Amino acid sequence: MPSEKMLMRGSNVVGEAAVRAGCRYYFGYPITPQNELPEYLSARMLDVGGTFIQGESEVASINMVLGASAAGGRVMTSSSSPGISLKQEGISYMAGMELPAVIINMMRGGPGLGNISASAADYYQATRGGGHGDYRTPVLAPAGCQELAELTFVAFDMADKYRSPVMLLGDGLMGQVMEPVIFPDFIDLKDLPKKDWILNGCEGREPRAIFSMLLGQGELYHHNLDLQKKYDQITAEEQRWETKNTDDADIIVVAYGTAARIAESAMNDLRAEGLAIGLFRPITLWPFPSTAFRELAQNGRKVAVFELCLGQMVEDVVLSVGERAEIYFYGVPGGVIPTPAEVADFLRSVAKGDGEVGRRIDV
Amino acid sequence: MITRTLFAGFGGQGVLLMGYVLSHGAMHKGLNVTYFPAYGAEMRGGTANCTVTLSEEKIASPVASNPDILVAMNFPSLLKFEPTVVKQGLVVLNSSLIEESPSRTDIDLLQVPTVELAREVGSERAGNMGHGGSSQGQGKVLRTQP
Repeated sequence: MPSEKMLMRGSNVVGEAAVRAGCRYYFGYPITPQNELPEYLSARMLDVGGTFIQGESEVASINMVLGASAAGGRVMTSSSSPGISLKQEGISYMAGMELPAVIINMMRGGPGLGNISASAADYYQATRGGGHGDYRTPVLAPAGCQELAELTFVAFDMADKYRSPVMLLGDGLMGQVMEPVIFPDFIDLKDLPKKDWILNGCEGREPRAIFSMLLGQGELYHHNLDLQKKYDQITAEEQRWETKNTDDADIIVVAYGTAARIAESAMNDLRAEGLAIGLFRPITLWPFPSTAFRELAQNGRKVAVFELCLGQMVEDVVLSVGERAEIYFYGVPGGVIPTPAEVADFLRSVAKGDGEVGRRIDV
Repeated sequence: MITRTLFAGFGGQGVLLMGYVLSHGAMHKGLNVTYFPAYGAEMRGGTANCTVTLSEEKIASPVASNPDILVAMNFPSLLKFEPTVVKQGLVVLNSSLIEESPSRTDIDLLQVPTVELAREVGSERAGNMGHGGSSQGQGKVLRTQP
């Protein structure tokens, strides 16, 4: 049965949802603003007979994730921006070894240690790989506590289905905000598809090996081509998005996560003033929902991109629509969270075309 | 109907708990709720604040442009947030600590002797609960049980 309605902060929501989605292994190293998540799981894993380990570092933790995944577990780690940077080597290895895992990034301001406020400046890192090599990581971007719960389930299923690390990209604000949540029921671990590739002791069967170093003639070449087939399939089948008020819109706002929530309020206020604004919210950042967006962004509509950084997703918007639409951008860096009124000023400026707030993107 | 309440004060005055209790109560009344705490290196001694948005409709942004109700537990909070309150909004002051009055005249003012009231019921530490209650007594979303 689904849970009662519970008032929980975003970080704790991910912890509870992970346990309900069958996660029994968590490895992580503390960093603000997501410490409530490991704190929650340190107690919750005891209830369900799971394993919680605070590693001695991010690098140790991600390699524990790698090991538990190779042994067949549903496994998760979490961190915030600088910590995720430290985990990139392990993520690249897991992509190469085709190991499923869920990685939570509650983004904070950067670069470097930056600050501990909410930001969305890790879009490039999340969607372009982050680590080395020819790989992609599916990235899910929730925009509230209920969706954090639901997409945590989706992330575990996608990770297992495609044998790939999957990233859930939130931010420091989303980790702290509390909203009522109804959790899906616990899955039964016995109902999950059997994994016929795991390293769980080879008594009575042929030994298996999982590694990312492929030195034989043409081995890595063919491995990369196989990975690419998988990424093509993900791109074709997994694009997710949400639209609001787009049917009659003259301006389409594109924003994800917390920025989308702020933009939605701005849209509602401006609709009351008579401006026909619609919202396009990517839920998968990779694969970016290009196909759906390309269809929307035509017929003279303007596109207004709003991000909690100085412009990263806007490149995917440009790649999706090219010169079919005028594209405008407004972004706020450094962990500063603009109010809906500030985003409304940007959208009014786009409507007028006066260039006072934000900037026109030269395609 | 949407009501945004900003609770602000010193770290340690129970500002975040006020917002949490309101959020919890509102959820059990069947309202949509977002609780947004300002989170930083300000847990003790510095300033703390949280924004609680309540609505019968789905709530878009947990970040409010302008609060309908400001609950100010200390003077720096009044200084900082008074200009952001909507016209005809409500400012609820902790008059045990704040001798000054708001400079704006286009707002309603409720001065609550928080510490004295809490002392009367037996615990100064309950000041935040009394004060938080006062802020909603005049509000339009949550009502006390008959």
